[in-house]
Amino acid sequence: MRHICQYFILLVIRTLKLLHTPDFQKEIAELIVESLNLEIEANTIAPDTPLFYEGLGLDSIDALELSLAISQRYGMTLSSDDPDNETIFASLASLAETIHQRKTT
Amino acid sequence: MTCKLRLQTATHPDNIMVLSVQDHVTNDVFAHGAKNMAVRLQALGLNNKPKVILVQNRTDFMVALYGSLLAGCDVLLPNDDTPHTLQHLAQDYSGLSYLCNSDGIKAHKNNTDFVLIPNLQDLICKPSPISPFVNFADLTATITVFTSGSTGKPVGHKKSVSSFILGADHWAQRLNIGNKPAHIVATVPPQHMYGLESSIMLPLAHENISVLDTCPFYPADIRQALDLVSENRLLITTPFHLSILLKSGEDLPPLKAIVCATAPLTQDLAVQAENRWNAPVVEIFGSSETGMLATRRTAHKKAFSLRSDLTLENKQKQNFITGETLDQPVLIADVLTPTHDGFVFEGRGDDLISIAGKRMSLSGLNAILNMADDVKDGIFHMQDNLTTDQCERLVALVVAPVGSAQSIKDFLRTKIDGIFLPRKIIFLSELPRNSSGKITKRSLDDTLAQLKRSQTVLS
Repeated sequence: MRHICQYFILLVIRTLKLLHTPDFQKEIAELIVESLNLEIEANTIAPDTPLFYEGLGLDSIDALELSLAISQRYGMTLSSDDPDNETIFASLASLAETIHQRKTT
Repeated sequence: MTCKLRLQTATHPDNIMVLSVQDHVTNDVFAHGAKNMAVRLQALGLNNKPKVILVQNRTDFMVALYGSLLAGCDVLLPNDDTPHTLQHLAQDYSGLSYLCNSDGIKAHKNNTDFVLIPNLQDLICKPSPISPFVNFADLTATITVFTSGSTGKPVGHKKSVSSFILGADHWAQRLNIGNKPAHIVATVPPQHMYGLESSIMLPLAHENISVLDTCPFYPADIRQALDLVSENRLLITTPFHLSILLKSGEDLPPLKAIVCATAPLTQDLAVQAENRWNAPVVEIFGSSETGMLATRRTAHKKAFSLRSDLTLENKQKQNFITGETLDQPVLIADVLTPTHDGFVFEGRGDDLISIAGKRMSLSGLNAILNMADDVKDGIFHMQDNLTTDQCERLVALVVAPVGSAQSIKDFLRTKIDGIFLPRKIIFLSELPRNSSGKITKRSLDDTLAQLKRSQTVLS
């Protein structure tokens, strides 16, 4: 019984997350385009496209500029010893999810 | 001139040479490890043969560098580690091997030319060898730093160890390194001239200077790195990193000085940094051929003061640096106006571009772009519509009826450092070449303005 309850609670949380996801992803896509001066439309960044190297083709300069924009807007500080680093910048979806979980403002 | 590397003359064997998060390495321990690295290279039959050092970690880098020099190996430091560059080096230097960490070994597992730099802890397990490795005054192996040449092929600038030691003396003088230990944190890699002189040669040549082994990246990393070292902190960085650091609002512990190089630093940024951290910001002007050649305190001075042993000569509208330690006059491609003790920097030479601390010849980049099968004609262009504190980025204009932006980028990625990849690839039916086949800045600007107006820019 307890397990079923836990399962349902998780399901509710995930559904709630999914509900806000597209809006927040859109917000982050706009932040990327704006802070990096990209000449593309924010809505053309697919949620699962890799942001760095292949895909959007961002590099280390972009990582620094983007990290600054994220910390200024959401109060989330990035550092190299962060265990989530591999996934944070993996795609728009994972970046949006991480910021959503860790934002302080 | 005699070499005075600290291994030979260490009067403070317990002073720290390299710091890391977990540990610190004293002069004595470092000397022990570097000597055993040389013994190991000899045992592998790799002594007296050239070495490329591919690691970023400064402990590993210094052990590999010093070990190689002791084993009579010339050290080669390429501009980047793309397959294109390494292939050129292998063609030009026979018996070449690459010193790397375990990741590098894994990535090239069937290639015996890649040699592991053992962990320092493993190197010092064996007893330290004595002679013949004690007298370093006889050290004749050289260090070659590469820049990108105008044909797309790397060009080497060979230097003796003693010229680096002399350079380190000038660094120490300029940074007012006295008898108190000073500690370096550097955001630049050790392979390029600026990082090599400041974060490797300075601690090797001066026994009261230590360096942190990592290359902190994010503002929070830089703060943590500076917190690790106790006092007399020297931050070695670039204007781009400095501006990000200022905007991030990170609080830094007290600094002895901030050193900037690789791209022009604006007076505004220097003033802000000085006010914020209450430390002098020293800007270095240098080249791969000469290393540091002039400095200024950018917040207060427009002109650079030339290193005391060098002279600036203007011959036929070209600037040359001469000096006893230089084999021949070195041409400086930038536009300089001489002053009584140095010069004012007026602008970069036409061919040299610099992004986030890395320099590249524009004609070299163009040569590489035109090597791509799909590209019939192509040219790189520096975007100039950005605000002053943003990093400049490149765009490529190409004639490539069958190529795609992706295929061209994939090709370039194997040839050039990622920083120089075009931000945008613009496809044209032809480039605006004049009757003699040249593309002038004006015709290029016109084409770009026209494209902007018609909004047909494809990316």
